Amino acid sequence: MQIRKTGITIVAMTIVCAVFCLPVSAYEYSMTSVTAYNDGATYPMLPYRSEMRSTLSTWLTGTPGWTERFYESNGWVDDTDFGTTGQGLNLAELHYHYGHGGNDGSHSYLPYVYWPTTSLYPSEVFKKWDSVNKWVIMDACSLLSDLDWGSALKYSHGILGFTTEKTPSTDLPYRFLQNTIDNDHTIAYAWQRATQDTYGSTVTARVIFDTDDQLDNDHLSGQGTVAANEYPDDNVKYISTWTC
Amino acid sequence: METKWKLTGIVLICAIICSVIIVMPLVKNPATSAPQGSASGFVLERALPESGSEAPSYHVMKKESIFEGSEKLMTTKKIIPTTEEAPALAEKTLESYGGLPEDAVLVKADQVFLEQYNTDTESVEERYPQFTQVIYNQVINGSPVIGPGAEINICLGENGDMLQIEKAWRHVEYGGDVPIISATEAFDKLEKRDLLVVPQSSLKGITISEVKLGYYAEDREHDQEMYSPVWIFYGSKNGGQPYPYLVDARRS
Repeated sequence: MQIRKTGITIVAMTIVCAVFCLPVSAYEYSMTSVTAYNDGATYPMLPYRSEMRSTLSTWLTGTPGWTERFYESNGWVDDTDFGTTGQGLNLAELHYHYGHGGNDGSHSYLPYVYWPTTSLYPSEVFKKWDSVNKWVIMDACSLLSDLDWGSALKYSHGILGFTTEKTPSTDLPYRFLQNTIDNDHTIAYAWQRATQDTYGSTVTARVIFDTDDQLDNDHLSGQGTVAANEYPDDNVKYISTWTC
Repeated sequence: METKWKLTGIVLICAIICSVIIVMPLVKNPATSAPQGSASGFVLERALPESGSEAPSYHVMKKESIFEGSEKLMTTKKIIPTTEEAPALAEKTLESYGGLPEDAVLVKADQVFLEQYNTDTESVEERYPQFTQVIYNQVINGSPVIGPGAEINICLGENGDMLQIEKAWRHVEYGGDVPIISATEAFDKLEKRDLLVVPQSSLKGITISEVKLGYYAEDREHDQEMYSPVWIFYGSKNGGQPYPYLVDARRS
């Protein structure tokens, strides 16, 4: 009888420890940041590398309880971070990229530190963004002027970005996360509002979602509903573009 | 003799290996190796404007900072205002928000649609109306004010209902003339990448189509006491829409 009681106590204590003592991280985000380029005449150094990271960290790892899955910057950023081999951003719900964007006249691309030798084109992530990842934010110029990026969405939900030039601002991630966390706005509207608030009419922003249901109903995980993944995967995307 | 042939062979093999190492990455990544745009730096499409040695600055006397809206903005509607009728509806909306400032100029009225796009056929299959945007910018005595802090952006839905309004406006008064650099000196600064704000994109292959003297307004939450002159270089890449590259015009 005594042994039984002791056993129950141990089991109960283990459960209590598991619930209250171990870190609970329901959701994860990842971040890449390229701010110092080898060819500085083409891609000048960008400010706010650490500030961008701390803005995300402050908002997400506070009350919402997210954890940072990985953070890579400058020379450490490569294709694998963007899921070309199935890992990278596919390991976390939200990915945020901060850096320059480029366009070669046919396609837009993300230049890495050693551009033009290293960069990411949409063809390299064709149907690569899978079901764990939900949203990818491309805080870079002009990237979403190329709709081929939409093809990256296999079961992932949406890409948020810009179709024109823009300038760096920590207000952008701050306002986006404030909109999603404090105001529980949908992801698409939170981006619309943050971009319009941060930039003027010379900038155009865009979202590309896998389904219209996701565009209308996706909230940041833990802040409201998240629409179902598309199934089966198709080639139809939903796009909204506005002047900021 | 035999040693000479051996040495020649080794040199040839080394040369081939070096060629492969240097040339192969370029062959492997032809797309990424292509330069962005055909020209390097900035190309002037027209002569730079003449200017005096001084230009007006302006003191900010009052700031209007309004942002109201709801998630209804992104939902699809049956019908949204046409671009012809939207400006009048926007002005009516503005009556409840301090009215349309005298130095406001209509920039555009655009309908925004949710587009159903097929990545396979690369075509828009359906378009669903979301809202109509009406945008005003600030122009002071013929000089444009660039930036998020000098703008009215109104989004209208069914029956002209206001879905979102952003009014970021600084009311200014003449604050005296300040010494400025010429457009030529400003272009030199531009070529040296000495910009007021660095854009997140390539600074090569940009064709400058227009150059104006104007002002920069920070976003509505920043305290900005003065409007100081800036040179605005409107440039585009690959035939895209012009973007204002800003150079501080003040002579230090």
